[in-house]
Amino acid sequence: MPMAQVPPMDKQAHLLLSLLAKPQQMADLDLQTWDVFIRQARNADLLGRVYELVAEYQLFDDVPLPVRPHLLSARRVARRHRAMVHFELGNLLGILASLETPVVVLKGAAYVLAGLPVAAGRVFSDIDLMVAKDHLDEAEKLLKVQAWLASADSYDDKYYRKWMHELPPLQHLKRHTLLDLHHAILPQTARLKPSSAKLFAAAVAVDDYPNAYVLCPEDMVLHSATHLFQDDEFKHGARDLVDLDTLLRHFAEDDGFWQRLVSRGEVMDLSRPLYYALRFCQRMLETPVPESVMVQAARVGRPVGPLAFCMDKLLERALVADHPMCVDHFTGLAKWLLYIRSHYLRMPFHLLIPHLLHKAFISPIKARRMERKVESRPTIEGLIAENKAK
Amino acid sequence: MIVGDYSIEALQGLISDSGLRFDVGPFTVSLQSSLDKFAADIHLMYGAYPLSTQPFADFHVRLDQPFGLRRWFRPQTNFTQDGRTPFKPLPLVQSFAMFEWGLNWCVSSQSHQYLIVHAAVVERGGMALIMPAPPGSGKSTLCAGLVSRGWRLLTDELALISLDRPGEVIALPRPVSLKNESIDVIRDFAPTQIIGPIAHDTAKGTVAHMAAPRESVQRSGETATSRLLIFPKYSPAASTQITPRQKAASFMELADQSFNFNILGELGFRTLKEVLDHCDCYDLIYSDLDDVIVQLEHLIDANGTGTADG
Amino acid sequence: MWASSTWFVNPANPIFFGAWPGEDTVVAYQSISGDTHLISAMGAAVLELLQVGPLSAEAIFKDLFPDEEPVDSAITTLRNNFLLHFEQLGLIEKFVS
Repeated sequence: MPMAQVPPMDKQAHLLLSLLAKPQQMADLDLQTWDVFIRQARNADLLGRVYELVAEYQLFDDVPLPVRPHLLSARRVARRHRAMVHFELGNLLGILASLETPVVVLKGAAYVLAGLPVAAGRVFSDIDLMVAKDHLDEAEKLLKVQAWLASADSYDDKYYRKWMHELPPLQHLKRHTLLDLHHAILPQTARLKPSSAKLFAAAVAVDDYPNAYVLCPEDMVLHSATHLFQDDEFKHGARDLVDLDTLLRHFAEDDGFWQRLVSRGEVMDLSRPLYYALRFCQRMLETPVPESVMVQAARVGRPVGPLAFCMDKLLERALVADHPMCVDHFTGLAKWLLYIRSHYLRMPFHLLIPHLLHKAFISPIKARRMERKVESRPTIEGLIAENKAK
Repeated sequence: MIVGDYSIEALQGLISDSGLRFDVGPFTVSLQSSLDKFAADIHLMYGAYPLSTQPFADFHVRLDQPFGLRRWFRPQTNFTQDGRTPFKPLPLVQSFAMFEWGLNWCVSSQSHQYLIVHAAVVERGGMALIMPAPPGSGKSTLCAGLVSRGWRLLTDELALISLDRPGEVIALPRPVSLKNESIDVIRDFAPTQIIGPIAHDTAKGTVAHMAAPRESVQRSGETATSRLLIFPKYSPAASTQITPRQKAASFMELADQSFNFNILGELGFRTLKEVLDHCDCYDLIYSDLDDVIVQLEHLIDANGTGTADG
Repeated sequence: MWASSTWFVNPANPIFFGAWPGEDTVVAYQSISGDTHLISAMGAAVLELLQVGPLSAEAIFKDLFPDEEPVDSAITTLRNNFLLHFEQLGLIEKFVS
């Protein structure tokens, strides 16, 4: 079916994002709407964020009684995740201290380390760190000694090391925490090549740890934009969009930020993902992007003609909350096309097909970043344990 | 109004359409299914449960056949909550068991307003007997036996421990799961109890469920104060032996059987500690249901007037 | 060489204790890493001391057994049976000056 005939998505599908864009509206929700809202938020891993917004806007008394335990439960999980991230970061940075090289903390763990508002209510699936390429092997050795072991099956392991020039995800033997250790924010085989050297040069030191850095604000936004729009997993579409929106609103408190952001996007060769990020944040979460900034970002980042329109339709479908209510007939196709696209952007074409075939038919399709089980608990029944499909 | 007020046909209509919404302990469940015969199981096993009066459910669950050509060849059942499933599909005949396991998963993974422990809890005289449940302990058989003799069922699998009232257990009465020989044992022991569909060849052998007694369901709103912590072990032909054990080691076992002990962090630790403060702990070896029940009744009645230790 | 080691509980991973009168074992729970241990009453006393502040093996001994002579063999036993063991379990860390 030609893209031009695709109808807009149902209003209910945008409930989650529209409430996150205007949290004050939560004060007026009836119980039936809360029912839908909670479920969409849970599916999008945003229930903790909803709790934080309720707290920030002082809406507790407006939340009906049956709804409260769900928010409370999500808050407990988010707090636990945050405490675990702190703990693991301390552990990891200590292990890597002997490298005597900067360690850049990326994404969620960076938000926690920098104490950014975006960290509130968030859950984390892994820790992302970046070190200079020369130190990668040594880092892996130091981590191995401390029970951080490569967790991928042997095909994926080769995929990471040989084709992507990355380490496979590492996992702590006892605590099962996942660690992604990179030397760049995009794989070497990707089409876009943001310079790691530039990222390191602009990185900001962190007070508590002598070897720890986070990306500068502009790079943090660019990285998040890249992650959302290039990554082959859209399970977190809504969540990642919220991350971006929250980062932008926070950094925009500094007057020069917007201009620096667009300029940096050009320098880093990331104008395209930045354009998409700004466009969709503005459209779906009403992020206050200044019009002049939008114009400039479009000038340097917008794709030409039909591609732009197609991408709009594709991305709109992939970004709304991942919930059956939000699915229309085209969402499956949209997600599949985006999956292909993101692999295309990562790998040269001749390498693409065998890998995709393998993923679809040989290995079970598993999320690369698995839901973290922070508690060590017995499985309730052997059958439940055996039957965990994801 | 209760679920059983509907005819099976009416229930089938509701489940295949907008959904059946009913209360299970502190939770409201919305159940939908496209399966033909599922309503009969729900009518039998959940007939006594109150229909929900509010437009909000804690868990929206579905049982359907998965997509694809498997519909005709060895048909299967799939459990989903809001489109997500924690499980691989199971044979269609295991649909009721699938519902139970699915609901267990929902409660245990999303209800961190409680400390949730894998244990059976029964009550007599206002006092709760908690039986943690490593596999093979026979705790479900014992639980079914006690409940058939008048003890109130708070739960067979998921003990909900209050985080703000020390030692209190919240009732979540649901079907008691029975395996293999236990099914016949309980049929003989308590012929009037309702035993639901039997699923053969599951990963755990043959599985069936005994419905929660009507009175236990009606008293879902009542909590119970923990008093005895008992670690049962069925041992063929053994005489009943109840031996005291230390609280510290019992704490470790209970923590090991907890789903969200670590998510709750310090709060989880303090809550579990309070349970141990309230309880006397025992190991239990038994083979004769009649005898062990009498002895447990003596034990809990003797502790009736005692105050919590520690 | 040994004299320069002090031991401490990492404040980023505090320990909570569960103890009941008349029992010789104690539960030690590390709330951040989630590890739960069953240890002896004396072990719990050692950990409680180290949670307050770093101490050497000698200082621990003197605090627990103020009337005893801190002979080498006793200190070594304390170190081997408790301190090194606890370090391996991740309950305490060593600071070597």
